[in-house]
Amino acid sequence: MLNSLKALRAEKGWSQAALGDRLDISRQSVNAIETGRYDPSLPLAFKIARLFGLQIEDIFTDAENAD
Amino acid sequence: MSPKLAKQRYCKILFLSMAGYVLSILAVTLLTKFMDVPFFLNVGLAIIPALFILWLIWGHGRWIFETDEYERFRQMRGVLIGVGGTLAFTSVWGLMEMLVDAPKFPAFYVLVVFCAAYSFGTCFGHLFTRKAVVMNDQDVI
Repeated sequence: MLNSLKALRAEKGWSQAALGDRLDISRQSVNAIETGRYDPSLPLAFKIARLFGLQIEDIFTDAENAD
Repeated sequence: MSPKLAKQRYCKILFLSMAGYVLSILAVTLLTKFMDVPFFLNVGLAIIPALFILWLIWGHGRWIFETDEYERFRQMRGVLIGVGGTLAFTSVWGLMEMLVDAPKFPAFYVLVVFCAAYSFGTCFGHLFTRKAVVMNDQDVI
């Protein structure tokens, strides 16, 4: 799954640790999601979407339909 | 609970339990070596260090449940590799003991083998996962 979390975080000027604090997850977890090493659960994806005021599909994209 | 707080709680248990384990091992070893301890008291004394290990195992399990989902995923992947490694080692060694008179492997060291395999799994588990993803892609093609 692809995601635009890094760009969204940069827009807000937050560090990975700051975003992790807001989501109640570790900096390592934010890094793993941003780099695509880990796909978050649905509850965490909703939490991320709520934090940025977006829909889940605005942030996360299915890699097979990335075009 | 935040992952930071969960880790702090786990580290506290880790240091206390390991300190308790070392001190109790020393105390029990000295007591049983230099004093004539009755059998039942000896059994009771031998269990004391094990209680600290059980405390650590409980604390580790609690940390896995309390930390965030990515860390839990990494730890569970490590546990799977750890269990697999331990079962493989004990099965092979058990057969060697039975069939070719290999030296007896003390049961206590099963935990040590598991911890080694678990650590390996936590550090290098992602290599196995990536391979699985590639294999799935090939299946689709």
